[in-house]
Amino acid sequence: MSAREIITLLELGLAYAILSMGVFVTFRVLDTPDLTTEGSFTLGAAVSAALALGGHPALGLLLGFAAGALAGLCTALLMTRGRVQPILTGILVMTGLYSVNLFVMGGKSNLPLMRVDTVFTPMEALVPGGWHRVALLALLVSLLGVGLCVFFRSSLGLSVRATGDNERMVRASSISTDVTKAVALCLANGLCALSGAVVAQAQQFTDISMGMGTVLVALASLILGETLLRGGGIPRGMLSAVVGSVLYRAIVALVLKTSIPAYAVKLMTALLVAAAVLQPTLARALTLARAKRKEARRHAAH
Amino acid sequence: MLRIEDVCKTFLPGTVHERRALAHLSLRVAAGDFVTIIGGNGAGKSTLFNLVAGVFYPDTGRVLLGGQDITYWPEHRRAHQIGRLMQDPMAGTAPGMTIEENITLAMLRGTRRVFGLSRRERERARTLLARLDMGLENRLHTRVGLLSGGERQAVSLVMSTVVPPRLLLLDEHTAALDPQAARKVLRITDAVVRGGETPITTLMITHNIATALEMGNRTLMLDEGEIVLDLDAPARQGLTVEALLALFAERRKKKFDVDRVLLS
Repeated sequence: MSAREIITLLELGLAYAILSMGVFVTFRVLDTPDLTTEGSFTLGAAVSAALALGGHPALGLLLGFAAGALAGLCTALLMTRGRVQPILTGILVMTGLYSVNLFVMGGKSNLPLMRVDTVFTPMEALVPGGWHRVALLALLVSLLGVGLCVFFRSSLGLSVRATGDNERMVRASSISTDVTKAVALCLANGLCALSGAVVAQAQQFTDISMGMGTVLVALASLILGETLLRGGGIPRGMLSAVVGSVLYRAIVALVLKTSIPAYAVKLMTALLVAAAVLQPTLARALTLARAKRKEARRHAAH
Repeated sequence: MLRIEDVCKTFLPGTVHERRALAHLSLRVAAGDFVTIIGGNGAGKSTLFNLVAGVFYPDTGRVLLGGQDITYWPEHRRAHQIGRLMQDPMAGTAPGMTIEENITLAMLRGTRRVFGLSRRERERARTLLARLDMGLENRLHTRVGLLSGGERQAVSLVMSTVVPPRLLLLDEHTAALDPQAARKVLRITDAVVRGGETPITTLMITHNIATALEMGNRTLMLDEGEIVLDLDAPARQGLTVEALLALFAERRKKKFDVDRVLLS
């Protein structure tokens, strides 16, 4: 693999690591499957691209995060006050966001950012050899990782974790689970949007369909990381998001080097997640089958 | 401390499944009282607790805590003042979080502080856990999901009393434990309730009549949504389980449903 390819996969891996962190907050901490992610990722990208085109790339990241958090708030209100199923809620908001995203992009289905200043432009002078994006992304990802670890030790963060862990207990202990769920969903979708915002400026390109399948990509990355890392709690989740995301990009890059066509990547991702989800069931079935066979053999011997 | 005034609650009114759970029930509990509550299935014990805790609201009547009308306060709003332990040992703790994180959550509740515990608070948490005599103070970083039912219930008890509540509700909190663990948790309960500067006002539902007569300073017996017997400390003195059942039979003109109730 050439240095250029390694740089690209690190860029993508780190930019999408933020997405995995967001998905970690909903799928793991809150234990709620939230599909809003696919819409808020593109929303962040659209906001970031629109503001970069207007000459405010850094503000684009900030407002991208805020827009995503707002999308998360819509999801949270539907889910808690409206008592809509999490899956349906996600689909509702994601579908609505498609129009919003096109609106932000001025009705165009893609926005190229060629020859436009991004947050990475000033870094070019500081870090040589094309590593400037990787350097800035690494800094951003570490700050976010540490920040999230600190947040989840605060009283609000602990309440959010307890909501995903034992909601009944939280409700009986003077904390409104509506509030803790809203906090988690805002934070998670803010992170997903920030990931989209960063990807848009790193790739210098935004496309209306770039969010498609991102939930599974993030989840597959997270699962990859989690199989490698021991321990528990939030720090492990953060590390899993980063390590897994980079590893996922490396695997994709390697697959694309073989004769496997590029369009097979999505199927591979789906299979990877399916395998991870099915693993406990398969393991149990296997143990049972083995026990049955052994018992049958013992019986035959008598 | 707690005043319940003429409370009625009927479930599924107007249907064939209509069930009157509480019928014009009134109750006053003084500060520092430890009231034990017994009664057969469907007597209204849990309904009473749910009304006090705010899981649902009464059809008529009022609930006052410390002079404040809390009848229609949502559950989480009154939880500042009311601690509650359920029968299910899994209910009171977050299994995926460590003992320390669980206790921290309970200690930060009600304070405006955002971040973790000071060294003094951590010491206090350790002391409280040490008092349980289960060695939990040395396992602060163990996930609560790995503890036994009795240990989890003991941690729940510490969590709901670490910031002393105005009222503690114990809803058959030893019923799911084996006899030995149940005895231990009851002993701890007594120590925790009376361990502070002032005793915590406590209501305890139990299915064990002997326990009900031993613990606390007052015993209520419920039947069909009404308080049938209300025995203060002198009245309970020397009262045997058999005498209590006879008293019940005399009042209600029927035998006490002993299916699920332990006599000793």
